[in-house]
Amino acid sequence: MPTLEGHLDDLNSLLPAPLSPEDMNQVLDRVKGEWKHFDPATRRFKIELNDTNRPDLWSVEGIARQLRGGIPLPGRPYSFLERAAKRERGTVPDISVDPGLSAVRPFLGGFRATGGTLGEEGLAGLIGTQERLSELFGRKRADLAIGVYPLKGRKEISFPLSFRLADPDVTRFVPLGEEGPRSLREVVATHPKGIAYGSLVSSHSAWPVLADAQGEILSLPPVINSQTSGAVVAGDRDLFVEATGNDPQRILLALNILAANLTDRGFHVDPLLSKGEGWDLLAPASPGISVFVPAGLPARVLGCGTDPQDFIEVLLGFGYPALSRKGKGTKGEGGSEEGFEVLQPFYRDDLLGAVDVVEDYLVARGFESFAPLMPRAFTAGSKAPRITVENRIRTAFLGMGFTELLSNILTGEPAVTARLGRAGDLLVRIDNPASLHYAVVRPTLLSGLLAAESRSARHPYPHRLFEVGEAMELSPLPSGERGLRDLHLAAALVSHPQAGISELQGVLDALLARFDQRLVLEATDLPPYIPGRCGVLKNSRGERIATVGEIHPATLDLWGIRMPTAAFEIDVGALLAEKGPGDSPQSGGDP
Amino acid sequence: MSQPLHPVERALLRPFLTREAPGSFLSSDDVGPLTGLSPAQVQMGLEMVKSRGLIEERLDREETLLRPTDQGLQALAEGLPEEIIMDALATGPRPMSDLRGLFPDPSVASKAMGALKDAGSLKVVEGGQAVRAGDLPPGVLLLKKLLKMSAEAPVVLESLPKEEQELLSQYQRRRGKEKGLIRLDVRSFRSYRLSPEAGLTLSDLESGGELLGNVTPEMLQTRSWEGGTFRPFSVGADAPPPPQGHLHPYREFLEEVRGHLVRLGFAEMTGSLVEPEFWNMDALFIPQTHPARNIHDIYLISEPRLAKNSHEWPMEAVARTHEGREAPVPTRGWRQGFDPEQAKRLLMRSQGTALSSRTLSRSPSVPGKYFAIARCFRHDQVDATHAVDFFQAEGIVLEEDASFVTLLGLLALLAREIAGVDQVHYKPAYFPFTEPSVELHAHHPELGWMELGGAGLFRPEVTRPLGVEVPVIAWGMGIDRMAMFRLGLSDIRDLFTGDLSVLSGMIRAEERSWAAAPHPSSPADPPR
Repeated sequence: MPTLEGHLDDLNSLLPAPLSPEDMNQVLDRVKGEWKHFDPATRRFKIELNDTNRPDLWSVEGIARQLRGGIPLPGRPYSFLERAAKRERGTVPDISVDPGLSAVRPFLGGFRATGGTLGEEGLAGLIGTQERLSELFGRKRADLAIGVYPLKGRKEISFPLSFRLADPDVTRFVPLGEEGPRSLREVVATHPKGIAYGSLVSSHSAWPVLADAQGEILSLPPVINSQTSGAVVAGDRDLFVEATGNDPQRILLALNILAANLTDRGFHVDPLLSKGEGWDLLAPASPGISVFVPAGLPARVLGCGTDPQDFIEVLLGFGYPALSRKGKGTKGEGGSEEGFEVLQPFYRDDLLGAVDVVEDYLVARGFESFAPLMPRAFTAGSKAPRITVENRIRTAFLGMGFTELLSNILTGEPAVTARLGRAGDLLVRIDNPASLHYAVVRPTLLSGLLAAESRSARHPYPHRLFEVGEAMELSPLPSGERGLRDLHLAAALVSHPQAGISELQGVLDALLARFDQRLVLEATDLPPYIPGRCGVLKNSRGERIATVGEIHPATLDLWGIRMPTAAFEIDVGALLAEKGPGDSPQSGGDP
Repeated sequence: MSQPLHPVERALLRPFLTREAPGSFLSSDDVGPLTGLSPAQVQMGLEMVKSRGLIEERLDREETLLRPTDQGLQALAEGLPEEIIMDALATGPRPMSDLRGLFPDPSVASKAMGALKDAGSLKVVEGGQAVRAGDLPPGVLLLKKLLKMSAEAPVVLESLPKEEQELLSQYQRRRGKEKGLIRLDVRSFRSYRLSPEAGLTLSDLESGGELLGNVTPEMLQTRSWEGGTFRPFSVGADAPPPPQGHLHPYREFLEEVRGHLVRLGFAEMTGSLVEPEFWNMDALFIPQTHPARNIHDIYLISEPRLAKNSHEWPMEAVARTHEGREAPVPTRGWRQGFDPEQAKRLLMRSQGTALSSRTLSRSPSVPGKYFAIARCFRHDQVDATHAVDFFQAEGIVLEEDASFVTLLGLLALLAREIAGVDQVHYKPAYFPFTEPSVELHAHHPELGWMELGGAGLFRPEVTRPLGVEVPVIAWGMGIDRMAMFRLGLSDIRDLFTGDLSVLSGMIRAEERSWAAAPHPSSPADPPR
């Protein structure tokens, strides 16, 4: 979730009436923001923004704009929209895009912003917005990256520009923050931004560069600007802003947001036309996207009557440029439907359907203004069969004086292989573990019980522990492939000077009796138990469903346990499968 | 006498009345053989009659016993550190670092070398080499002698020559101290006599006859208890704790939440720990490029990588909805390509909502309420606030007239029933699968305002492709924090601890927290 830092006076300078820190928490509901921090000494704040689908709100200007209800600041209208609407698409483009870029970085759009002043706060804000858009909305620049340049920097930028491919070893420029020219490949290998983002271009044989009419290289999008033409300072009055990426709509939205922000800061924005093979992009411009809201929907979603006129007025006050009531001819269904045609504000692209508009209506009215209504329909509640079984087992253990443990399901591989003397061929492994301590799904609960025992030598003996829960292992499918099998296990452990198999045999027998089953053990040799002092219970198909025995001293040694210990584990799922299907229709994963 | 005498008390008092002139002292060692009681009974009996004021006590003398500590026994077996060092130097000089390496704890080596240097037994020459400069200091030899003697039988400190006693003070260990080779225990010798004020006579010992002990089956059969008096029991004394088992307090907390939800009419959903991205994400209209689907946020399964039964899923309808073309619901969609292979990828369930999407696709009841308390997995750095796996409580409500205001009502109900809070606040929120979306904030009496959960109405982009036509309320609740508060924990990892002492602490905290909460007794008619 984006976090925005800013200065309260700066935010207030963009609002018709200043807000105090005390107002903020409630006011920020309108932008789905949370007032996280305010330092009264410096008057700097932090706001956490929860709407990941509204990048227009990820800036001080954007928050202020929403709080103003989308209304431009006095004397600073969003007149670039009209200029864009008047611009002939057939004219010579300001930026030409090489068709060869379609496999590398297909689209670029941009605009000029002149006659304003950023100042230190404005420049920091612009860089912050650019970063948030590129990192979060642009997914670390893979989908979108933004560049800002001084029009009249060390070298004045001369139009038209060209976005073209260049040989990474031959083409050279001075990257931002450095002194001498380097080849594109050197920039990617050595510059911090090159190291961070170079992989977006480095797999290609030719790399993208943006150059002006004089052939001066402005940048290596989406990696780094040039120091000569791409270093913006607080005093710059004239800027060029571009965005590159894979999706023209995303580029247009980002440029619309930045154009609105710079207009709010007093800049005059001139849309530019870029053209590639088979496409052109004029930005900023209104995409003119509208959404149809059926007349009855607001009342249906809200759950009580709404006044159509109120709906229109509230949304117009929330930044929607136009709402009209109309009937709509619906294709294929015959007849027309009454409703509202709602134009999406040019700096937003989050309206996917009618409910999004209705939510804005509810937010604009304020959630606190609606009286909650208790749900009335009667439904019968129930516990899942698996839980009922678990609770039957848990109370049985409790009656026998056992204490319940709850362990993590992800665990380290050695805990369930080497330290139990078992093979790992049926382990379900995590492909991208965050830590080797949590790299496999537990196939057994015994490791959790032994781990607890190894940590609890100072706790007064005897220890009688159990756990009931989920586990998992691989199981062969009829096709010969290996599939996943959910396990439902119960395990118990006793540790004290006289701990032995017979005590646990009795417990297991008593547990089975709770399911009207008898314990018939076969002797077997099975780690981690002592050979000759362990047994298995098999079901009618001869499958092993429980093991019980005394833990081998060598195993105890691996866990650092210095007390005789015995344990058992039972596959509860397999035990109950004997009796037929046990799960409810709405439970269970894929078979 | 207010209370009859216990047989032990009688046996103990008898010698004072029969064998000695009244007023003379008997030592505790002398009393024992005269009573026929075991030493423990003598000890207990003396305390009993003393506390009743029947006898007086006199301290005769004290002596200090030397016993080797565990460390002392080890030193006796393996040699004292000073000996080990001097032995190592027997064949010639060695570097100091070598000598330190002889001990697991380097401070032991440093201390012993210091002592040897002070005693002139060892010198450090050029290059940090240690050489022998004499024999073992007499102090070490004496200590070894005392260790050996005391290992065979306790040695009385006071019987040793003065200089030996002083030397020992360097090596002694008082009770309760961790270090040292020899432990000193003080033993006191006491004598007792009848208390003149008590005026006890032999007849007191005889009067009252035999007292009855525990009730026995024979006693009941023969009615031998009739007319007898039962020996009083010291009810104030500590009783041995019974062997106890405990259900896990966190699991019990979850059980309580489960109980609330079942009472509110929710039916429980369960499922596999592993889900394909389809049910975990795609069916919930989370775009395939969403940051939460990044490999740094989810755990992918390495084998098998892909689910094999995707033909059973409504993949086509979900794909068209994501792409926003020919979707089963009016939507612009995410306007990006949908990759069915990504949808098949298997991951550790990252949110319980996966169970809701599955339920929606299985012709759920309308009206219907479903919930899950599901183990979920997030790819977080594990620390005090992030566990590798955790429980999430969530649910859905399907109802013809489910709406935003019934959602608010439901949330207020859940806050009251599950968290026990009446004061709630609704904040606009964003989740890809609900619109409108709400965050539920509740005012907890102790924790203040806290985020209790997120909720909303499922987007039609979620419900329609799964074949559901009615509005669906979806809610989720963070229950870990409530549980941690109840169980007195500040580290979320302790919810899954294997340390039985921490677990005991949780059980105690739960007991205190339960007792502190109001528990109005059931209304009943007052007695008339």
